[in-house]
Amino acid sequence: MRLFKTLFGKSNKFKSDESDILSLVLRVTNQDSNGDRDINLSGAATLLLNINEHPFFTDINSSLKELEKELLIPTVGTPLRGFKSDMYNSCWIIFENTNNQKMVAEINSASSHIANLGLGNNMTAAIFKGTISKGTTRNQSFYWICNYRTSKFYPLALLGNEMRDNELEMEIGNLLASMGIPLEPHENWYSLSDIPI
Amino acid sequence: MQRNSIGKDHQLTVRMLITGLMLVMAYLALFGLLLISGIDPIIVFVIGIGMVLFQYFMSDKLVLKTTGAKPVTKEEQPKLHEMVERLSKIGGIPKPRTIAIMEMEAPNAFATGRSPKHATVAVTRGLLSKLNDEELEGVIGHELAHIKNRDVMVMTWASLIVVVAGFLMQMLFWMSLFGGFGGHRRQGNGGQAMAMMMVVYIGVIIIYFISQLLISTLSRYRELAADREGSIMTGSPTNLASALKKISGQIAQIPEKDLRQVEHANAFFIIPALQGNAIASLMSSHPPTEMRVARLMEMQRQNWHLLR
Repeated sequence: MRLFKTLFGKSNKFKSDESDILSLVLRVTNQDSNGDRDINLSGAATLLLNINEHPFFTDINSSLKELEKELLIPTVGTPLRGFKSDMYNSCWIIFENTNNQKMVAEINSASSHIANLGLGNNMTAAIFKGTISKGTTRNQSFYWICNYRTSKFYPLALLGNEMRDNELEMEIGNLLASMGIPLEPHENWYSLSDIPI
Repeated sequence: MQRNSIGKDHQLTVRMLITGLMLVMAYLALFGLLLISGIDPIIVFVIGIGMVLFQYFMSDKLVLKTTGAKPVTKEEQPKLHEMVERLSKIGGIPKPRTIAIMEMEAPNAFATGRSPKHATVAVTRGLLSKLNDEELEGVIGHELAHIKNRDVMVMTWASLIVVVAGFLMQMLFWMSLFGGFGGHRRQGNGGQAMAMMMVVYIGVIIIYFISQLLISTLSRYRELAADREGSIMTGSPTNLASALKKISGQIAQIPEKDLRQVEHANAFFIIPALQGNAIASLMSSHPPTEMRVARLMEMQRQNWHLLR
C-alpha cells in the first residue's frame, strides 16, 4: 500500500506522531520564567502550504477547496481566520486562539486532516507569532518557525523593510536550544515575507 | 616615510615577488607553446589584452550593475561619507568618487575602480547594521587599502594569462573538432602535427590551472597586505579583526532567501552544496579568517599601529 501511495503521490512526509513536535512550543511558554527572558505566544499561528509542489495525479485545487470547506466548519474545531495565497503560490491557513494549548491542538488536528487529504507533502511550516521580553525591552515580537521537512525550529525576527534582526534571532535561538528545542542549523534559517499573522 | 616602512611586511613582499615570478614563467611557457604550435602569440595576446582592457575600464560600472549597489550621497549617509573621507586623507589617496550601498543583509564590502580617482567603495546594508563604528572603520580601511595598493589594476593584469589561456583552450578545442589538429595536411606530417597540437593543448590546460592557482595565491597576499595597510590607516588592527570575526561568524550563515523559494528549488537537490575543502581553499581568493585575525592581533601586539 505504501508503495502505491508513494507512486501516486499520496505519501505524507507529515506523520501523526510527528505532530507532537509542535507541543514543544508549549514546553517553553509553559514555563513561568525563562531566566531573565520570557518567551510567549501571541495567540496567532499559521500553517504554510506549498501548493506549487504537488503530486502528479492530485487535483490540488479541489483538495484545497475541500480542505477549506471542512476546516471552516466548526465541527472540526478549528476557528480559522481564513485562507490566503501569495506570490509564491503558497497558501496560509490562519489560526487564532489565546489558549496556546488549544491552538497547538487545532494546528495538529488540521495538519492530520491535510495529511489525510494527501497534501502532507505540501505542508512546509507552522509559524507561531511570539514575543520575547528581556531586561527593559518588553514584548519584542518574532516568528517561531517549525520546518515540517526537518521537524526543527528556528526564530525569525523582522525589522520591516525586508531586514531581519539577526542578533535577536541568535539570542532567541540560543535560548530555545538551551531549553532542549531541536533547532535548525543557522544556514537553514530562511526568511519568510508577508506572513499574514 | 616612516609610515611606509612600517607598512611593509618583508615576508609578504617576498612571497608576492615569488608568485609574480612564477606568473612570468607561466607567461613565458604559454608564449613558447604558442610558438611551437605556429599560432601567432602577438594576435592571441592582443585579443587577450583587449578583453582585459574592457574589463579594466568597465570594472566599476559592471560591478555596480551586477551587485545592485546604489550610490549614496553625503546627505543620505553622512557618517559613512565622513568615515571614507577621513580615512582616505590618512591613507593619502583621494576620496573615492562613488560610495554605494547594496541592499543585502549579508555583511560585506568591496572596492573597485581602475585607479584611486575612479574608485568605488560599496558596503551592504547588513554591514552597516551589524558592525559598530570602529569595526566599520576597520572594513572601510581595508577597502581603501585595496584602492591605495591599486589591487584592481594588479589583479586585472595578473589575470591576463588566465584570460589568454582560457581563450586558447576554447580555440584549440574547436580547432580539434573542425580542423582535426592538422589532419588535412600531407599524410606524412599529419600525425606528427596532430601529436604536437595535442601537446600544446594539454600544455595550455596545465598553464591555465597553474595560473589560476597563482592568481588566487596573489589575491590572498593582496588581502593580507590590505589588512595591514588598512589597519595602519585606522590605527587599530583589532577593529578589523573584530569585524572579520563578526562577518564570518554564525550570523553570516543565516540565509537571506525565502523559505518558499528554497522549497521549490530543493525539490531536485539531493546532495547539499559542497562546503569548504582543501581544493576550495587553494582556489580561494581570500585567506581564512582565522589567519587574518591572527595576523592582525599580532600586529596589535607589536604596537605598530601606535607609530602611525
